[in-house]
Amino acid sequence: MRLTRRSFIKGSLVAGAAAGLAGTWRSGQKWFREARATGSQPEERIAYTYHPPNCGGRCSMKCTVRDGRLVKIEPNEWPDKRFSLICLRGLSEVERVYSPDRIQQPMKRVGERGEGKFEPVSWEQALDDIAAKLKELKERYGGKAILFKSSSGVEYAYDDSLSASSRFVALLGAQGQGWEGIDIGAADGHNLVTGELAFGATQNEITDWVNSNLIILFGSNILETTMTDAQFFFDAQEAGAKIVSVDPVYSTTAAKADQWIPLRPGTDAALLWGMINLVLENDWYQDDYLKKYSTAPFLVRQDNGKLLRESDLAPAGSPDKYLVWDTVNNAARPHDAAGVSPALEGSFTTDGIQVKTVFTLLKETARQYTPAWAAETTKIPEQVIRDLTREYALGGPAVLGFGYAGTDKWYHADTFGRLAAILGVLTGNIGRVGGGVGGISHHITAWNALLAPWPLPPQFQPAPREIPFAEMPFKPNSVRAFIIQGNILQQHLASLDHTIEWIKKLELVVVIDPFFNPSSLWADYLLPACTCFESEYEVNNLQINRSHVLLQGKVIAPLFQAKTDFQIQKELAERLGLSQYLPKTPEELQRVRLASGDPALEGITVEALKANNYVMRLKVPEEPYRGYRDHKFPTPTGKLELYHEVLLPEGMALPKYEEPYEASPQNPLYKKYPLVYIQTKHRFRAHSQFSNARWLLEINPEPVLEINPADAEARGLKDGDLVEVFNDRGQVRVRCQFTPEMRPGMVKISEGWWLRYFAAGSFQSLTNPTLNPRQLKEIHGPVVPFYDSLVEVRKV
Amino acid sequence: MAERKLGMTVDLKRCIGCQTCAVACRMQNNVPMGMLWNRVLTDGGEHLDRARGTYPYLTKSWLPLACQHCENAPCVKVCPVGATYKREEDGLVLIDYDKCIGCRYCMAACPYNVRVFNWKEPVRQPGHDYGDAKVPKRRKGIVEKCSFCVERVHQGAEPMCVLCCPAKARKFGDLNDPDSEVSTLIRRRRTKQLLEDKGTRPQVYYLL
Repeated sequence: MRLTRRSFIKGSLVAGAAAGLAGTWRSGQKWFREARATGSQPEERIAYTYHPPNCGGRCSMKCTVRDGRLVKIEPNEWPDKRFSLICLRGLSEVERVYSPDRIQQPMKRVGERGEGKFEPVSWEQALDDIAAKLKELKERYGGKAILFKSSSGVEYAYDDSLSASSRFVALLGAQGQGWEGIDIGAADGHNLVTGELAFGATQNEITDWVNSNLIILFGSNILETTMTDAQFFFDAQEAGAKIVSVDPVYSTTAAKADQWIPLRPGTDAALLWGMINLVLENDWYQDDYLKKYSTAPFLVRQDNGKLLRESDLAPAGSPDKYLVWDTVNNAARPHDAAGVSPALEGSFTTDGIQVKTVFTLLKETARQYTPAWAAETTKIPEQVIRDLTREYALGGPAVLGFGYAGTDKWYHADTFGRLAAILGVLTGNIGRVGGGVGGISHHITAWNALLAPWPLPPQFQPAPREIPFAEMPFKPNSVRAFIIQGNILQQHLASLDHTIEWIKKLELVVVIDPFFNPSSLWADYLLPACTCFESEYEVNNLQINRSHVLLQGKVIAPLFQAKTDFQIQKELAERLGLSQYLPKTPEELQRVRLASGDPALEGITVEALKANNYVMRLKVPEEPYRGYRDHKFPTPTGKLELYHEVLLPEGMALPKYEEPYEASPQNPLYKKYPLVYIQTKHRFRAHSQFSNARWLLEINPEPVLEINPADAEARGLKDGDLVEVFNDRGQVRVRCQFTPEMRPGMVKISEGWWLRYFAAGSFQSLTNPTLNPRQLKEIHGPVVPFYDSLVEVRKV
Repeated sequence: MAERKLGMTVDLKRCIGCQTCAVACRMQNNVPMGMLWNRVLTDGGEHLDRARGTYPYLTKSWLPLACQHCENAPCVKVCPVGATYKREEDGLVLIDYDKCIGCRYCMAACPYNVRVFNWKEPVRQPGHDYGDAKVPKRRKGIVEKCSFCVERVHQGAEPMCVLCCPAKARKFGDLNDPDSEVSTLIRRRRTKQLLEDKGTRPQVYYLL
């Protein structure tokens, strides 16, 4: 770096443009008063909470309260001090809690939906109205007419499919929607191989990276999305691991990696096929591992493509016993029969049925995906693919990690997940110290324990999910009332105009959030929720994160008329005659959850947590968590499965490479819209949360369209021009910023910016809502292919 | 020679430009809106976080920048009222806000552009004072800057930016103590002090 005094002054303009840009603060909610804290205590005191907003970090916070106001947040002291962490988003809460965007009292819509006209109502009135409507709808149409969905930052989620704590969905017999649609595409495919769920444990804990020789990150910008794991990234580098970032964009992570491999967007699966081809052709696979722990030696019938079972050969045989070719007896025998020595490769005939091993079929399929083909498809030089593969296969232990956006928000994301897992299986990197394949953002794997669900009598069951949430705007369904915690409408569905059309048809829309977030524009009722700092109760939520149990205490009393999500549920349930089935206090709930009998929770009680700064380590080994060291997998066969009969009708029993659905030059639409449009996560927000944090807006004041200077100049744009980004689904107006990190042919608006920061439209106006039907068969259902979108840009 | 010479190392390999240190500093020190004591500059293109070069031949790194607590501090020399001073016992460069007359000679003298001036009554969002109660309030017409979190350091704690850095890029300690973590790092790593040719002898070392 060339340092001059001038560069500091210039640099300071870049960094501290802050004050001058305050004018971009466009607040339309004139009826909101500047936030003021209530209550007053002369003394300074310390209180503890943890941060729920979904970066996944769940940082435990030591908070200083002065005169009843939150004034300071520090990282809490964890038993494992490496986790005493915080980031800019956590710190920004000192301002955000008192934001002028707080919903201060319950409100009722007075104009049309989407006009944003509301009038204050009392809690009594709001809850009476909502309860009466829910009762009416339930009686008339059944519980399935009521849909709950909660943003990932909501800790006490009514849609309790994740934590089974609130149980509101079951209590009302309503529909909940879990994680459907987001962050689960690669996991769908990964699950077929490993049996693991999204956020599962075939990846080792990031603290194990110091034991790896190579860490390959696909489409993951972990140094911006999970800043609190940054130390482990650098610890691994200092310990000698090589970190490779595979990403079309020169991200912060790419800039800090030892090697950056740029590729054409959406072609990660082609790189994986090229690598699999090299591993198979060069015999770089782990023969023993494949025979012992995978279905590679299983036999596939050539007449119908199904796996050969014992019942195929003997009428009394089991349909669940899969056969391998036993080289000792030279015959097909059950894979788990004693003394069997399976052939990994080969074609055989038994009882007149021609069979081949899964491994042989994989090899045959892989043959077409040569390194030269992969190079042509991905635009990565062939030698780079060859070198990377050799290092991965022979230089392990190695990590193959992916993020929850870069490779996930694509129509064919499941294939990426399958191939990543298959490559890990071939090279023996699953269940290995220093290895792992899977998602790596937000410290996804660590030691865990079972928390007991709040028990309900058996008559209370959720309504079955009719269709994936992401299809609801497009297909007939029973939903008439939608209870939203957070900012679902902007964040969880692609193509915002379609979302709005659907939402306008509903009979009741309730938005519960601390802030007047974009979803609230379409609400009939707005209910002010507490932040994680406020509560009516001394003890609130509880989480297990990074091998520790975290408890949320009360830091300050509820601001304005806000209530906790717990309290809102309780008061609604009272009106519905259901409150007797719910805990009376959050503390009662947490006591039940902690009493699950899991040995890792031994000695961890509400009292013990309070006595230990509200954070205690699980009773688990000191070492990093490493999944499946025993190589027993939660698949139907208990093995790593390389062949998937379930996808035979789709011709995908073994994966095939497919071009991106929309964002491909092979798509005729590409002529009209030649730019691939992505919306990556950003350090200044966790999804749309912190969009309104004024301490962060000072540094990062407005959304921009990131565009390579060559693409911009080809369209006659100058840096900073107001541009329109458009496709057949909609348009958004935003300033462009010349961004050399963007691959030519790609543009980006980082996700989550609230509507009010755009001159028109939203980053979500352009995104692709098309779901891949085969993913209906997969564990988490279809992923919304937000990135699989084409756009064009013009000057306004 | 001072008994202690407190200083900081900032590992530029570890710095991810996340701005946590900038926000931590604002919070701890009740820094008003529109100014920062601690900024994270991008060593790259024209805008914050932008790389230098042409795709795919790109470079990008960050430079966190605050008061360098120079041994030979130009700001101390030019202050006409002795408001800015170098503290003997620990080598901190501090401002006595009661003495500051707002002449801003120090801002002109500082080659690092790390001092900020209250042109108007400080605005704080939220609408109350935040951070450490012991940090003195500043009024309109006063210069302010990084104090190495003197109120925390006085109690044996490390500055807030060091505590909060998620990448563990910052270390703080006594440069006069050869066994301190900072001294060890400076010995072991390639280091840089900013604008060494100016003769300011900063107590902040960047690890390369």
